[in-house]
Amino acid sequence: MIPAGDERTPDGRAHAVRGPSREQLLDVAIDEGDAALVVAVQGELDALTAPRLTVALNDAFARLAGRILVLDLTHVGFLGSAGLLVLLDSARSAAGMPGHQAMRVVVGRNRPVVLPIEIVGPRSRPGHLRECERRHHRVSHGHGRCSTRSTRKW
Amino acid sequence: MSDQGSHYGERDPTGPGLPRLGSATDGFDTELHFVLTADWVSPSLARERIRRWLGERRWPRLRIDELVLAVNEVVSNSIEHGYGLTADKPKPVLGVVEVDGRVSVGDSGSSRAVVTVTDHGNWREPDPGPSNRGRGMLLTRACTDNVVTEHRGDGTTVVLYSRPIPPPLVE
Repeated sequence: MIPAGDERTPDGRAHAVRGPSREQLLDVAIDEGDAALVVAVQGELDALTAPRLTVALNDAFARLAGRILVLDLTHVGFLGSAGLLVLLDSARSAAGMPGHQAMRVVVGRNRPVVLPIEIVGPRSRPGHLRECERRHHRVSHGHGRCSTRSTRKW
Repeated sequence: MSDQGSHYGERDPTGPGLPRLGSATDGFDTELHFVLTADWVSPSLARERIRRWLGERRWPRLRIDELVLAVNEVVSNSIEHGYGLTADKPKPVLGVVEVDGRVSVGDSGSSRAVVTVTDHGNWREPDPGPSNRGRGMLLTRACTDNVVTEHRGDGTTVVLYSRPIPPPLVE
């Protein structure tokens, strides 16, 4: 099990946790629970890898069946504008679905993810400013474990 | 007028004997140079090089994250808008993106990174209406002190000036 929190080494160059292979750059895992469907992303979200997240999220939306969609970006080491576009498009898709519930994005204190979201979040989605406030949300994991993490709604 | 050539440092950013932060004299050290193909793998290579370059200088992690994000956006912009590759319609093009980095040390001892990204693609004005390009420029500007864009006849040069970092407490 991957430990939660800040896994960067003190020199800020590498991740102590095992990440996706260099060729792959990004791993996406879907964890299905009764109340939530958790899409856990590990690696780097740029123009090369963002389309793969789009495919995974489209698949998750199709299987949602009234559950909450949680996108876990706690172990993402880079998030650029291409990745942000996927988040915003997916949030729009979630909003357009019948019986919609806002997609939850889990970011923890992961600065490479928090930094770009803080920059564009309020400007891109002014109506969701309040929804973007951090709050604690219990995320259920497959092995009966629960962890408390900071999440934001889009 | 100083002779900048006398301050040029090591060309190999991975080699030993790099000038330590704060040890350089005023002016610029040309410290980082690499050339990327116009390909969607290239932004990840640029990020890795920038992260390693400043990590070896023990820059604050926030400053590194900011510059990595800014360089990613500018390199991606060169690939997408300079050479016309879009994420959903990749096509082979012959083109390169050049990246140069240097650390400038001011009179007060504070340092800033100056990164130049050059492409030789055909600049196109952004389409009117919502575009992800505006978001990329927003990120770039928010993560740097200054961004200077020059549209040449044969391409575009973008110079990024990082936020300054204070001089080290111990030499």
